[in-house]
Amino acid sequence: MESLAYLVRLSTAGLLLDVNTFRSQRDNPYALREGFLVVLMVGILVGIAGLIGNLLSRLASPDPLATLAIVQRSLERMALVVELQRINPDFSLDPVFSQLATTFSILQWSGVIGALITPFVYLLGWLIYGIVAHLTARALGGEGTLAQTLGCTALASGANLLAIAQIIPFVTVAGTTLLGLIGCYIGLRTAHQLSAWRAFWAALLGPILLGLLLLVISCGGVAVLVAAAQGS
Amino acid sequence: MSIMDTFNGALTLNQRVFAEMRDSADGVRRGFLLILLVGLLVGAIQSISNLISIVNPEQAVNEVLAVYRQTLEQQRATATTPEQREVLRLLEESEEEIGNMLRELFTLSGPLPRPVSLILQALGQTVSTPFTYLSNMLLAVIFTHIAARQLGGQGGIRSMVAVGSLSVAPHALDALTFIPVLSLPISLIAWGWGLIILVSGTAVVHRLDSGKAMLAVLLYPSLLIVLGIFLSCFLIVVLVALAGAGA
Repeated sequence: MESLAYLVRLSTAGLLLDVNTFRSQRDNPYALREGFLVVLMVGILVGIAGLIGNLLSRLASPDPLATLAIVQRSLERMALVVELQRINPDFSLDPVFSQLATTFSILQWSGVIGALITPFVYLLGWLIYGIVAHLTARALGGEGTLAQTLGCTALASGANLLAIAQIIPFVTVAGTTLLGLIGCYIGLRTAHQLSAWRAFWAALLGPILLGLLLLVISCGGVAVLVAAAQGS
Repeated sequence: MSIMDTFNGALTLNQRVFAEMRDSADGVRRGFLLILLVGLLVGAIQSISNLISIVNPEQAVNEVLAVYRQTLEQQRATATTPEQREVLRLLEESEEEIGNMLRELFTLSGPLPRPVSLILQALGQTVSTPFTYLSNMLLAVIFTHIAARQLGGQGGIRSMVAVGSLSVAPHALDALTFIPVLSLPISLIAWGWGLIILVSGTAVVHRLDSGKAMLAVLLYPSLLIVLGIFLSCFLIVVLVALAGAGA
């Protein structure tokens, strides 16, 4: 069983773009298993850090519902709103603020839920990306096996170690996606012995497809909303 | 080579430092360490500056109300109809209520004592700053690396990230942007200096001349800016056409 220190060393090598470790991983017969453990370990660490940070930020922040109540109370006393209510007695801020209160109540738990499912999200993302990238790399002339691809791209998840900083509340983590993509590029190039440009396209195709998919879904969502608005 | 030597070498465009970062096995680690130190320095000073202004809520309320009055003054100068002037009059009457609302909001606290909340917010801002520098650096490095390879460069992405990290060094000047008058000039100097370091670093990593290195750094950002302008113009034309059709 691989030691925790060994897994940390693997993930750190991915974070720091250590090409030698990527090469070792390519030739490692246990690359897939170790890659799985690396992604899982990073996901658990980031999830725990996110959970602690989220709870601390909720303790350090005022109650959103209390904030909304103050804003609504003040708005209702403002001369502009009083005049609007005089002109139109049916005018009321209650529906808007009720909806906002419901939204905030849901959002309060989204951070906790997000932190708890982080390991699963990381594993699923690694598998889907790895398979798409592997198929692309093979189509572009790559020589690696799926196990080598997944083993090497798993190291790129080391970039997500930076997200452990979320243990400090109110921290905004950035750059992990770009760093992870660079790690995937190095991993694919190493696993499949591809040229620079072929490895570049193999690494980028997955995110491009995802972006197109999100665009299609967004356009579909907007079309549905417009149709619903016209129907009503 | 110590981190301070690396920092000084980056600022003075020391080619030996650039070459060492390019060839060193731990170049990425040293580059990230430099970004971390610069980011924490800038973040700490900026968060202390914000903390000082937040600790006195009345000062923060007065600053917001001053901006509010200034905005209303600007709107009054452009108001042409009696309805617009009436709305502005009502908004002016609401100033006191807005001030009271802000005072309540600034003094509202969570389960933790207010000083602890403020310190945690300051800590969060401090630690977020290195990540901002990291993501901006990686974006610039990726675009530069792609362009440099297209222009015949021979360097690798790992070396590019290591050397590109040096372009964050001048951003230590951002720690002084809390000084109101000097904020913009300091930011421009830091940005320009970082750009020069990135150009120099690109030339070293990819073994290009300065002209091609400059082109590599500026190519894709310029294309994106031009594309953004075209898209904005197109969007404006579409909106005007829709507005005209609606009328």
